[in-house]
Amino acid sequence: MKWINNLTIRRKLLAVLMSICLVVLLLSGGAMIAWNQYAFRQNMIKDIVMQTQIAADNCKAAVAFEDTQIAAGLLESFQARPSVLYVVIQTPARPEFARYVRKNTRPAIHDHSAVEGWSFVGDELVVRKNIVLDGEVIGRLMLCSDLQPLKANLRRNIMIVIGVIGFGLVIGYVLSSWLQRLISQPILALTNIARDVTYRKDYSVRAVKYYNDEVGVLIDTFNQMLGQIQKEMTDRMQAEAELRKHRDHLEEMINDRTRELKLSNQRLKMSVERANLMAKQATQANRAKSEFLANMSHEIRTPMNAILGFGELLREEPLSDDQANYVETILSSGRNLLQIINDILDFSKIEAGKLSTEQIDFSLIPMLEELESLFRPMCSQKNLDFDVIYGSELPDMMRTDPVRLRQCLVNLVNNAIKFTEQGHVYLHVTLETINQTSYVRFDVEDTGIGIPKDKQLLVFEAFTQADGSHTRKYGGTGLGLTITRQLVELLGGRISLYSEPGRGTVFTIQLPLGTEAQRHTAPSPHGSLDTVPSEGNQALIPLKGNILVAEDARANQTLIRIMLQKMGLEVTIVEDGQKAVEEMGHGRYDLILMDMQMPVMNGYDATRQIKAMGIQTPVIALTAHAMKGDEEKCRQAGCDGYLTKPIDRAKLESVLRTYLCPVSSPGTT
Amino acid sequence: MIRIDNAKKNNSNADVVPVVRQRIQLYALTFFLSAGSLLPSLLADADNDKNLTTAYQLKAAFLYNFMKFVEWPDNSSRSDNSGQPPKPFVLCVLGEDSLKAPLNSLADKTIKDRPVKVLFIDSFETVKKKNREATVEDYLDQLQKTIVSCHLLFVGAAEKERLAEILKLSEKKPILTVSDISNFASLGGVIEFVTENNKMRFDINLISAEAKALKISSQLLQLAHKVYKKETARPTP
Repeated sequence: MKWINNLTIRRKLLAVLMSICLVVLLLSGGAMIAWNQYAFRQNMIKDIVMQTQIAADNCKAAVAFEDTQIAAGLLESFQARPSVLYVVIQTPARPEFARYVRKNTRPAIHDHSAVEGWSFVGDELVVRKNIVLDGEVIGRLMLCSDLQPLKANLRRNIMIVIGVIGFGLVIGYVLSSWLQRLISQPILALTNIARDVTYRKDYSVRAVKYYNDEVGVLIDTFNQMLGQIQKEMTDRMQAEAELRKHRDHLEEMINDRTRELKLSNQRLKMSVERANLMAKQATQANRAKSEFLANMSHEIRTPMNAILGFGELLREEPLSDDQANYVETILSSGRNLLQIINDILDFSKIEAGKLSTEQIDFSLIPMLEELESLFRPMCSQKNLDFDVIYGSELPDMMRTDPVRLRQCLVNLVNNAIKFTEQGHVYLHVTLETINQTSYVRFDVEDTGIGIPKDKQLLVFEAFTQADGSHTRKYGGTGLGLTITRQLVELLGGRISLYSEPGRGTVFTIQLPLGTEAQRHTAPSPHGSLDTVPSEGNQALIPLKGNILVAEDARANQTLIRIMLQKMGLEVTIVEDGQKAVEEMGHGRYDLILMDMQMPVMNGYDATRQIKAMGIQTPVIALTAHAMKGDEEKCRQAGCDGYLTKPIDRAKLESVLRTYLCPVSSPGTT
Repeated sequence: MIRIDNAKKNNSNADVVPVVRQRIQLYALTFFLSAGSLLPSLLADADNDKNLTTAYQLKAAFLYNFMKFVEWPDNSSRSDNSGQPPKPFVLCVLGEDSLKAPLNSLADKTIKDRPVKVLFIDSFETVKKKNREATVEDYLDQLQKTIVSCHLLFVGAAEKERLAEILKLSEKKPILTVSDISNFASLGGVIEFVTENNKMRFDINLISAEAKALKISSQLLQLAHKVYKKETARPTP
């Protein structure tokens, strides 16, 4: 039945009407036939029963008087009824008293003894009637009729009904074709309009309304819809026109922008190239700067070595008071200069991220005592009171980088002394515990000029002092506090300050203790070559031995020779590494002092060759490279010890004593 | 006897049983039980005495049957609502003793719900034998009085000589006259037995019947060998 869904409305309506028509006709025709057939049958039965009855009555006398001829004659009258197959009269004495049989037929005679009345036997109607004479049954008449009239009637009826149905369908078709227009016409018209609207985009047409039924409402609604669409289309066209205008404008804008973008892109490319070039240049410059600083370090330290060295030698000569004063001035200025240079080097290393720290256990008290002995003379010169105040629970040992810690404390105390005219400078050292972590707290307190609140944060910045005028008045690079802060942070601590202008300042460093509090643990001699040994056994045992010195700088050759000779040692000096190796080949020496930077052959190669020759003589490296990696580099080359330039006489003597007097120095191999 | 009982039963039951179907069944029952009915019983010993007994029995049956197809003008045949028993049909047999036995065997039968009374009248010969002094006139007078109550009068062959007088006595009276005397019908009798091809038949004189105000059923007329009619006065087959 799906095909019916795709039919046009016209055909659907036609189909509906025609099927209704057909059903009605079939039903009415069927009912008519059924009723007619029933009525006909009843009539036929009635008729035949009546005929039988009449015949039975008519032959009463014949039966009564047993006149079979007359009876047969009477029955002959059934010839007029061709549907009668046979008629039989029976009497008690004679089963076939008389009979009539239709011509040319030999019907089977039915059982005559059945109940009186009529019955259908197959295609035949059998009627049985008693022949009653004066209340007495004297015989029976049996009539058998075929159903030809009934069948003929049925055929006739069917033909009529078929004819009527055919005619009815024709009339129905004509009527439905005419009537379906009432519905389909407006819909088809509406469809055509809709198609027109779709194809021609003409929203101004309107459908014609035929009637006021649902389709009429549909058409009205459709027309309203068209009106709305027309209005919206107009609006849209306007909007599109505007949009097109905008789009054209936009294209121009885009073109402009693209052009600009291209231009800036080119500019950017050029900038990037320039930047790359500059970065390359900057890298080169930075490398040049580092090399320059390294060279500066070496080149400045070498003459400083000589100046300070000879200054110290000179101070020990018998001099007049004035001369002694001059020598002291030369020495302190030299040390200041060296300090400034060291500060600048440290700062540049920190900035470059090249400064590395170490973590070793060391004894805190000796260092503090050394600081006290260092600063007490300086303070007394300015009439300042200086004291180190120890906290009650201060541990002997702590783990940090002692060199850097000392540097920080020296910086802070120097700073305090520098800015304090009268009063005191105190160093408080206490142990405090914050969040179950132990810290050693260093407070450097002074009664100096103080720092205004708004400058307090700035003092840790590089090249900054609280007041620009201070530089002129107090001198200094302004790097001290910056380096201190960065060192403290490198060591895992923090620095802060509290200050009231005109009353004084307190700088505070908090460093993690880093180890359990321990007592009586001696520092490892190898772990802290730079550590100043105790001065107790310094002059007790005179030194003895034959020392080979490899040093290219003439001033240093002289300085070292004098220092060593004063200690009672024999000295041989060569200019480069090559000569040192040759000298070791045929001389006996107890110790070698090896400068690392020499012409012809440097100290590293020379040390390596000497050690390769199987000579066990200790080699002490001398280097102006104050960088951290240097010591490691020296040890890798085979050096047994390490000293930095400028050579501190006390340090030199301490190292020499370690290697030349194995009995008195434990831990030496 | 059995037949009569059944017939009575039938009649009484017919009023009681209201259902048609049952009535039809009863009809059928009747039909079969009456298989040994009138004619066969009459014809039963036909093989033994073909000429005599069978012929008389047949005649007796015919007489009965004639009465069923003839209507008398007294019209009292139908039982009225008076509650009185209906008047009997009177069947008179004049001078034919051979019919006594077969008719007596039918004595209990009814015709149109009326009982049948058979009246045997002595022939003049018999009367004369008993009483020598009896005259024909007296006899006829007596006969005239007697036959007034008769519905049917069978005239035996013995009265052939006085046939004219007897016919005259019954003329224009509602008495169905029957006889096997030849030319009986043409002489004014109503029904005359004739034998044709060894088969018993009858002629009917319709004119005299109409004169007696007797209505003879057309069916009976159909069966008649000859019918004498008014217009032609000639017998029609």
